[in-house]
Amino acid sequence: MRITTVKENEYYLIAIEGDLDASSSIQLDQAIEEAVSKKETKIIVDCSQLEYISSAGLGVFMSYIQDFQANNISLVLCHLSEKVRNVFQILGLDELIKIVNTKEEAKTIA
Amino acid sequence: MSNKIKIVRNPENLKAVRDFVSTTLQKMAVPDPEINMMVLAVDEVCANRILHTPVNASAALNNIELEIQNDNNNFTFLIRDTGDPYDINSHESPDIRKLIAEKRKGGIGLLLVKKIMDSIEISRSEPYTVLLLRKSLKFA
Repeated sequence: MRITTVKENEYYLIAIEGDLDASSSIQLDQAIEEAVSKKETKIIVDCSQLEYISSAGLGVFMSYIQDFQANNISLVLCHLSEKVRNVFQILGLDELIKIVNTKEEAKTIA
Repeated sequence: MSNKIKIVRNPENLKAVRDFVSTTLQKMAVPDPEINMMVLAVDEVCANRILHTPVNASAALNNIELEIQNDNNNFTFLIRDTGDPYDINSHESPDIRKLIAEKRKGGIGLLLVKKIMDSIEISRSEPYTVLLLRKSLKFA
């Protein structure tokens, strides 16, 4: 798995490429942690190249929900494939995490 | 066609497990959405077995074996290793909102497995622990 980050104006973009599983989820955790340490408040995760997600990946997103709500940090996921989105839906996490179709949409609600 | 794979118990090998399940089920003409769900369930169980089992002193006992059987679209995934038995069925399903409040990163893997599979059996046959995940599908 590969993660790249880039700053676009006030948005902090994290792009995930490959499989997010028990062996790689730590990298996503570190990327989000880095965004938090930089005081970023509008984080967009581009999942267009994300091919697979397991509970380890879901767990990383889940673990930030509470703190982000308390600290007004916005986390929005975009460009999920149907396959990846289905995994969020199994446990209803798609209703607890902001998920939109495009990066443009993500910017409007971040 | 061989429906068996053996991997060394290492999270780096989970991708090989997923590829094996996916390829095997494709050859059995299983529709993609069902394949994706079963790949996820098997991946979760194998990850759980890898992460929560101490490394055995004997290299020969540090493997996970997976076999896929299909009897008229009744699928059985046999997962065998030398880790301790852990009864997934007695595992209390966590409340997602509670896990979020506790900022937990883990705890939902087995919940996914239970949602996806019809049944999970676990047994011990020294020196092995054997898990049987079953799923019946109806497709043309």
